[in-house]
Amino acid sequence: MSSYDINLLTREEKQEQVKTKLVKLSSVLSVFLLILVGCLSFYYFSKAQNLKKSIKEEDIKITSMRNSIQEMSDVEVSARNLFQRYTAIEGIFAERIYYSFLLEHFNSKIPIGVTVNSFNFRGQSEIDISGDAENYLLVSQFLRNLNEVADPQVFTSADLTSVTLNASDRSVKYAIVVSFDVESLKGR
Amino acid sequence: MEDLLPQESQESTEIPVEDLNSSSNLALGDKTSRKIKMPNVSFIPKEKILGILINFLVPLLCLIGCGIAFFVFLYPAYQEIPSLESTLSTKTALSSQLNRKVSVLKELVDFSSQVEAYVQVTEKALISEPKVPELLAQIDNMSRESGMDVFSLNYSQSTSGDAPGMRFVDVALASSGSFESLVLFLKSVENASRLVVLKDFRYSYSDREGTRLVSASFQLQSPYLLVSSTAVTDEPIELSISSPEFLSDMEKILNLRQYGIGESSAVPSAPVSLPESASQSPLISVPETVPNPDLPSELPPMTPTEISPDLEPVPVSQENPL
Repeated sequence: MSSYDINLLTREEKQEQVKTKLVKLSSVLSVFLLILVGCLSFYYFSKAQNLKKSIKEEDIKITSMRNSIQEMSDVEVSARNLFQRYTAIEGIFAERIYYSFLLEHFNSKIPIGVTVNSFNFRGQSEIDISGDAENYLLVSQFLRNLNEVADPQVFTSADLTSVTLNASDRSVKYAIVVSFDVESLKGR
Repeated sequence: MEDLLPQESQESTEIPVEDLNSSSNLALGDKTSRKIKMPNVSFIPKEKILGILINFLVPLLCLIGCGIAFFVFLYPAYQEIPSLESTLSTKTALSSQLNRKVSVLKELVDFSSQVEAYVQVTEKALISEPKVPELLAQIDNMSRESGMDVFSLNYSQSTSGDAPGMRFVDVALASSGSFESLVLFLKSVENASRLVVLKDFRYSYSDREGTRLVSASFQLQSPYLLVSSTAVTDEPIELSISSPEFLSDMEKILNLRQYGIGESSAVPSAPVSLPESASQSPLISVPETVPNPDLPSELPPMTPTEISPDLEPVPVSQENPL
């Protein structure tokens, strides 16, 4: 099977055909490109315009609200002063250590027969305590009371630092270091 | 495509090389006249160009249109949009912030009487000036009312606090009494209408006239704060007078007790009553007349100032021992 060229058109006509095709194709492509660019241009342009419009509207609102705020400047100053003072007071309340609670809590731990002669703070969260007790067992009881688990857990640890027997009346002198949780004494 | 070119372009013009480079030829001694074929591109007929333009008129017009659309609309808009979006979001945020501020201010205006009462109460709790004599009188009153005898009372101006503008007056107190009176005094300090903070204390027992007494020394601090705010339109107001935290703190402040000069016994400050219907007003109702005792120009004489031999002097220094 052999193929034969049966196109009988002249060379000029063939060229004309190619030329027509080329013009048609380029026209279609360029129109399509124009439509595409036109659509994109419309989209971005309208979007930009909408944004500008929104910004203008917000500006009008902001100007109006600023005017309203400026009319109430006296109230604003008063509110700011109140807030500044209130914030400072709130901070003081939050950081205040309620020593009355500490003392009451401590007092509840002292067994009958034990007296406290001195109570001094050492550092931020320790107390030096010294006193007398009728016997060793009461000192031990006092220590147990201070170390017992309670809610709130004010005293975190209690250590006996010295204990001396008074031979004359069989009483005991003791010294204890008690650690306490500062946070448990705040915000009461 | 050769046919699309003008016929004349295929023709050539013969130019004698002699004319072009006669000096080089002379140098070489070559007198031969050689001909070079040069394409003639100077004459393209206008009809052909016009024909091409007419044939490709639509694509050309479209491309011109594309160019105009791109450079006039698309590209500038595309470039502008991010900055516009950013501006809009900033403006929207500012607008909503101002809107909130306006509503807060309107609320404050609506409850201006209560706000005024809150201002007075907070100014009483955290005063603007040191007012040392009044403070000493307050501490003396608290001590006596608790059942403690004052031995010494000293003060010094102290360092500034954490909050901007806040300063402290340091007071050292030495007193004696029962253990119960000591606890009562500490509670008085914690509940005084002018804020007093206990920084340190110590106590020891001593026998006096057959009774066992607590001799205690305290280091107290009373803060004072000078506030001078200005109206800044675009800055928000963080105060919310209807928030539970604010109301709770205000109630706490309102419940503090006054220990003013000349008050033999401290009385609770303005009674606090919550509104009948909390839903109608979120604010604590304060009586119109908040007690504001007028302070006498002169202080009553300070009684006992002798220092107990059992007590260690309380150092009042700039540094906080705790």
